[in-house]
Amino acid sequence: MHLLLTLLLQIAVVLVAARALGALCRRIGQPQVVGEMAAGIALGPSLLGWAAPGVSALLFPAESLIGLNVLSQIGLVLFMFLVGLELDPRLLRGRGETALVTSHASIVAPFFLGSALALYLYPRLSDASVGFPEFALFMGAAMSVTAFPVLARILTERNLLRTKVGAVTIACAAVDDVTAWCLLAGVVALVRAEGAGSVLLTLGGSAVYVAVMVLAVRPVLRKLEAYYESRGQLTQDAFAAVLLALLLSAWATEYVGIHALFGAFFLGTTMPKERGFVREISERLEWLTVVFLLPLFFAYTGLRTQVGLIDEPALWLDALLVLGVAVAGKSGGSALAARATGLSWREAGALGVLMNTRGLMELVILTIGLDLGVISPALFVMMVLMALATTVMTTPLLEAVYPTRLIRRETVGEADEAAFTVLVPVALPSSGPALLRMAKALAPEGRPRLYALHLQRPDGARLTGADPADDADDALGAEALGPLLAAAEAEGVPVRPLAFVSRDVGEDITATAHLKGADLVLMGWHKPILSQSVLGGAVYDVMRRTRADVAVLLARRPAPWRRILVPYTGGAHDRAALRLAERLGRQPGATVTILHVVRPARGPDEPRLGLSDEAPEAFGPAVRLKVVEREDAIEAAVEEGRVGYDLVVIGASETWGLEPALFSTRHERLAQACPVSLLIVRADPSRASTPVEAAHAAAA
Amino acid sequence: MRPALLYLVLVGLPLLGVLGILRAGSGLAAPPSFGGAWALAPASYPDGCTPPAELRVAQSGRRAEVALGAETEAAEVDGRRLRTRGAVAVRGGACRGWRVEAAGEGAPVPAALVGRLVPEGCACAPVPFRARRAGAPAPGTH
Repeated sequence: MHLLLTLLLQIAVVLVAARALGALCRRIGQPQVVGEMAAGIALGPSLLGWAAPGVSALLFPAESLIGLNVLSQIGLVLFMFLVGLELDPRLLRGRGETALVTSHASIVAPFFLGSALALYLYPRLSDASVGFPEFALFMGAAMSVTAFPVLARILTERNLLRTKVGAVTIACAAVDDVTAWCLLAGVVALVRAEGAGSVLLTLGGSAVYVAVMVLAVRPVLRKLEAYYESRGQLTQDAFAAVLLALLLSAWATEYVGIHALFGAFFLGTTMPKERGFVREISERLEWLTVVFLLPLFFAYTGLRTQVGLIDEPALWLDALLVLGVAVAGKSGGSALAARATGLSWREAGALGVLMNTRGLMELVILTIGLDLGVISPALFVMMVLMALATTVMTTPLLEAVYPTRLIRRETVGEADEAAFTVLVPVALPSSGPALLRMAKALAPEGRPRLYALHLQRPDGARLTGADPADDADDALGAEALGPLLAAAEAEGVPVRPLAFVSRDVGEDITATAHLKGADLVLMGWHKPILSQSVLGGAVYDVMRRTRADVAVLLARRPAPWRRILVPYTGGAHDRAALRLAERLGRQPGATVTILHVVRPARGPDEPRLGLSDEAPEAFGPAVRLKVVEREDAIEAAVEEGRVGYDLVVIGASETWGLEPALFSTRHERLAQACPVSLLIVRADPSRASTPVEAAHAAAA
Repeated sequence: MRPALLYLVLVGLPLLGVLGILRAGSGLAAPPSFGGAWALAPASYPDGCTPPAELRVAQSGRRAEVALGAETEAAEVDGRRLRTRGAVAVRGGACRGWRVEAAGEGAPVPAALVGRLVPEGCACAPVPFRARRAGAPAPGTH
């Protein structure tokens, strides 16, 4: 087959395998990168080559792999640049001695154990073309690495960034990555050097390179950033200039004898870290790199990983030894250091587990080692398995050592019982301002405690997560929450923005509402993809699970909403609607009309729900009660809503044809026909007054 | 414990340990390196018994994989000797495969291999050969 045809086919197969296994891993609570790494190994001789050698030979003939290799190398250059770009010195600020001692210990301990392991492995798995010092130093560096991007993703997903453990871990991981890459650059220089003169040349060249980057390139990059600020957007010329700098930096480090990847990484760390500039560059590079190029690297690595090389029990024991040393060195070293500097055993254990994540960064280092010939193919396989195992074990071990409920307990600590707390999840930026104004209207006598929440699904997530040091400027939420925050500033309402990556939006909104002690979850309405229902999709999830009142706003008229109608027949949800209407009624100039709909009596013995039994005791003077006898309550409400109201507040109950449902196709007549803004309220089941109502509310 | 002392214990001591390890490991010897591609220069052989022209070795310590084309065969490094466990399969030609028995010349990275190719599945006689590295020996070419 023609080389290009083969390459295109290879890329297609790799992408399908990586996406499929990545999605599978996400589903079982593992980082996506685990699936992508596994896909690479599965496409290599260890599985596809073993199970279907004919297919493997057809798909990946040896002579065609050069194209895959070139693309994967370019992917690595871009990826290492992105990793450097994400490393922000602000992560280290204010972390104190805990981070300093822990980060250095978390490098030195595995480095020491890795080097010690080399004493045993060198005669068994290396050969005389590699000196012991190079082999031992490489093993030390390879054991020391932490997968900063995967770690940041795990911390963000588990909402750990705002805990002490998360803050120290991310700082340690940043230090670890920089140090491990500097160590590796040293090892590469040592391996490539041919005599003392060559070593000196490499050292001198490296010093000149660093000086040029810091003294000449960085100021130029600052000017580029200023240019970006003046234009307000990243121009193609500016982007090309950054790419050019990246290529030259990678070329320079390769030329002086350390690796091209170090140059890419170093340029990333040297870049000015103002968020807008960095974010735009990241966004332009990230998807191409993470979705397209990195799976090719995984595949190329997998093609070089022959698990069949470990074909004796003794070799499997060696592999276990490698894994044991890796875990003991990284986890044990980090945890002991963290404990010694004041963290509790549980926190120190969690830090150790997190720092043990190696992921993709380990594969990058191992590939360099294999290319240089410092490690043999069999040792490469053992180390790849170790990288995969340490990444897989992180999430379950973390859950065992530091369960989610403890994280939640630690991150609460902010509640002020007196304030009316509203959580506003925002999916569409345009819905933010109306939600903000509704939240403000619901607490007219004081400032509500407002949390604006944006959740992003993992497949749309950035390489790393939120910056723990800077809520408001959070990269994840800045775009989605921007209009809401702007409206809040204009209205003088303080808002706490929250943003993180979420696998289960409904579950995470519920958990956040619980964490923040929300009295109300206020959501906008967006038509679900798989449903015609207003109360379907994520809204359904939140209404079903949340232990707080939940309200969905269909903003058909802009604020202020002063003429308020509450259709009422009784029940927990209608009462919740009344409670909110009562709050809205406290606005200056607001009037609330309660439309009490009763069915016509069919006989003298039929009981009629009386509003006097159900309504809250005290409404303000601006409340008007209107009682109508109608068989069709919905029609009554729609008719009344057409007559001079700004907002209808209504319970999410069957009476009104507004029951939450996952895939409902029912025609929500009231929601469709109501000509004004609509606030649909579902009661907190824990606040329902009778067991029957509580059961009804929970069932809804 | 005071931070400086803590740092010394948790960071300084392991670093000293690494220096000790490097010193201790300087006396260790690894097996000779056969890894890489070798250009075979066989002695005379009869028609129909043409041996392969190139030999590739992927080495992991005392174990190796030897290829005479697309197929590979496990091999062992014993001292300065390299010997395949069975015959390395080849496509085309009269023989089904060749066993490789060789010894390295030069230490610790042999510059030449001297040995013989023992055919299997044909009536050919073993072919003595001398092989040189194809291309410059990269450090640690496994």
